[in-house]
Amino acid sequence: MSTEEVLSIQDLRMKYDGRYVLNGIDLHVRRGEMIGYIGPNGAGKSTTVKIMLGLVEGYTGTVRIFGQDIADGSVEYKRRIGYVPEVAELYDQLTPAEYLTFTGELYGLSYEEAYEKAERLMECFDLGKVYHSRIATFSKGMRQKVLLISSLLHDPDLLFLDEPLSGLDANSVMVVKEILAKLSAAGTTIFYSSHIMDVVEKISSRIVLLADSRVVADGTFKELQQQSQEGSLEEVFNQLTGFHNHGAIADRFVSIIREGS
Amino acid sequence: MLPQEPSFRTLLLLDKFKGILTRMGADYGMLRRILQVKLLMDSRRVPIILSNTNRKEEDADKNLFIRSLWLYGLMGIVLAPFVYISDPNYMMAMSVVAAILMFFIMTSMISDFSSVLLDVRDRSILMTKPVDGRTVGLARSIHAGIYMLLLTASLSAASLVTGLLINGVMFFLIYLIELILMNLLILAVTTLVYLLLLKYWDGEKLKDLINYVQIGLSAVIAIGYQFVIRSFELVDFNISFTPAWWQLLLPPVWFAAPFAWLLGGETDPWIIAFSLMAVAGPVALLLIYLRYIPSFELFLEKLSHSDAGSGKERGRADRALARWFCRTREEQACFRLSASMMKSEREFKLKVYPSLGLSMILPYLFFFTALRGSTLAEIRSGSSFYVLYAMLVMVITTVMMLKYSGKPKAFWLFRAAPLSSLGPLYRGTLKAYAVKMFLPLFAVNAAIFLSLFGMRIVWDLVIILLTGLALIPVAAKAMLRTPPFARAFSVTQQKDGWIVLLSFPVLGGLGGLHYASSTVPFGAPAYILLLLFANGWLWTKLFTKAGRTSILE
Repeated sequence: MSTEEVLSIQDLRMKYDGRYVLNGIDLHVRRGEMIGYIGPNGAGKSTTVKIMLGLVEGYTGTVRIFGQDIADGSVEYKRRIGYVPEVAELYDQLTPAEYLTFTGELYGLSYEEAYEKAERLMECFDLGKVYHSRIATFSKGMRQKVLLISSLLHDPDLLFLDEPLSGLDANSVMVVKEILAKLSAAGTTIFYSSHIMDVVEKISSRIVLLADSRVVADGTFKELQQQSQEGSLEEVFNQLTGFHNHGAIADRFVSIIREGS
Repeated sequence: MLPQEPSFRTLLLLDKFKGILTRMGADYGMLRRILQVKLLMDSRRVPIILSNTNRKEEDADKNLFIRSLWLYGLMGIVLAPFVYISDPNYMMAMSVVAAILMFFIMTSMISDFSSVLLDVRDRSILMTKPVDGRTVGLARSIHAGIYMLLLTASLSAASLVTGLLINGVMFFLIYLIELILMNLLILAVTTLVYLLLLKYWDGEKLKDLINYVQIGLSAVIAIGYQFVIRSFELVDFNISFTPAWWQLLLPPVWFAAPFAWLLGGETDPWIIAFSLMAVAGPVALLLIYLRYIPSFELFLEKLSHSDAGSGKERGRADRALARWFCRTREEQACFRLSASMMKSEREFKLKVYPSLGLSMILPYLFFFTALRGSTLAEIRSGSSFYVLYAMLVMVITTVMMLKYSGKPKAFWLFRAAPLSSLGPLYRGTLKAYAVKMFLPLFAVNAAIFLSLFGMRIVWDLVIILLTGLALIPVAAKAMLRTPPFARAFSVTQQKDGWIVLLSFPVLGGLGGLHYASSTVPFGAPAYILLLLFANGWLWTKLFTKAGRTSILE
């Protein structure tokens, strides 16, 4: 069943203020794929993810997740989804114990199960001691870990991660990357969107590049390299989005800073 | 041993309504869990006033809003006399009671609990989970509703008891049911107004619009309330009430009618119609609201949209003003920052602008009550221009608000910047306040007073102006316990009403001093000189030692 289609998007269009932020997206994702979802700011990445999570309506086209058309009004498909948003919004007056049992229960876990599982996961991240301290006192990295745990607690089949490594230290980054690789190998489908190209290049089994509200490249890293005759994903990205003058911009920036000193 | 989930008595009460809520389309288990978490969070909100007294916050899991309820209880005593005199002419007295209650509930709904209704955080935390929009929306409304009910209970406690003892059990029961209907009405109306705004606008423009609607409503309600209170000093409560069709537009009248019908035995068809409206109005609005909950949840997404757009350069005038009033470059920068904060910080505007509006009107209200029956000529030659001192209440209440910001964490900037003390921040902020808020408003009122009383009071106006200016740094020194813009606004913020009460004797004293100076020869010029000196000293010396850049978290 490894070829089971987890997600299919057909001719997805979304207009906002008379301008298309998504202009005919087609995407089919099979079980266990690790998709690197990249693109310049404002290309429509987060809008796509928000549509798939049912946060935005008013699009045209069809989005099917686990075979269910998400426009049919049922929220059942969300039970198998995990989500780490770009902005680390948390109810931070709560402790991780309270927050994680709460989100766990929203996904249908029992209080006891969520509590116990979350505690052990926190310990894995070296946060066992702060399981009962308020999230408001946490550093950025600690908050990120709580978010990761809350997205994984119910063992989702489909994961949406938006800059999941932000704020984590180098050791934690290694741990999380390894976790994602193992989950993916075990059949979890992962949608990984990030601006850090090195990471995307290394962990993704397939890369989807969005620019100007449409998919401009879709394939393995090797295929993208061949398509654009470039070496690293960063260079592929620059080439496909038509960006060549970073040197000149940097020169101008520095010369402005140095003025008058 | 697993720690128990915290339980709230409110939730036990809610369990009684499980059937109804399920029929409204909510998933009751989820709803209850969401509410439980929200109530838990509210109990954690660190109160502003207590936050720098270094008390142990961890074990103070008490909801601060609940702790401030006694104040509303005190305010509610005002209602008791109206209830006392209501029998047998219920219409007048009970309309006033309903109007006052609705005023308090509505203002607090708009200014304090809008953040509950419009919480965008719920979008990414709750709506990404398998919970449907109706459940989340209902949870949100019930959350706000719980606070409204508590507020209503404290406000009406005194009058409820009076009603029970004086007017009997029937009165008490009608009153009780009406209070619940009133709450439903207000909750539904507020939500529907937001729904309309959300439907037609989005992003920053929407936030501004909501802000202006809130400011406008609060100001109208506050000023209208003053007028109502004062106009009823003129009204004889024993005159008979004549119903008319246009009263159908006044919800307080609806709520007065059932008393007249069921207890007073009035059978005028209008009275019965009003009584029916008291039930039908809230229920109808509630049904409309329930119908639109899912759209409300969806529209909320628009609040998190932000289209950068292209802004224009702003603040040229502020730059000139800053250079005019501030000596050092740091102080000028702080002046400009404060000027734009006062202009664009939405929460600040919401809390401050309505009281500014009220302070503009306050002197005239004193006029009307003090000078009833005197002719214009008498007023012109009199000395009632002293009521302008009432305007200075605003200095005291609004300077206090300068310590708040919607983004208090941005205060790190002042610690990171090479400032040797926070003196420039204090001085710049207060100067910006004086120039951008106090002076323009004072100028308007001064112009009106000049045209009314003639040029003879020009020196008196100068004295009042100088007094007001001197009050700014004094009020800041006394009441800004933290640097400007360093504290967060909070839903459960305690009311500072008592400070206003405290300010009246102070202002009265200053007015008295002013009057005394006018009775001795050369008193006025001497007083002006004294005030000038005081201003110079207060504005320069009071904040030179405000050097501690560290503030307690």
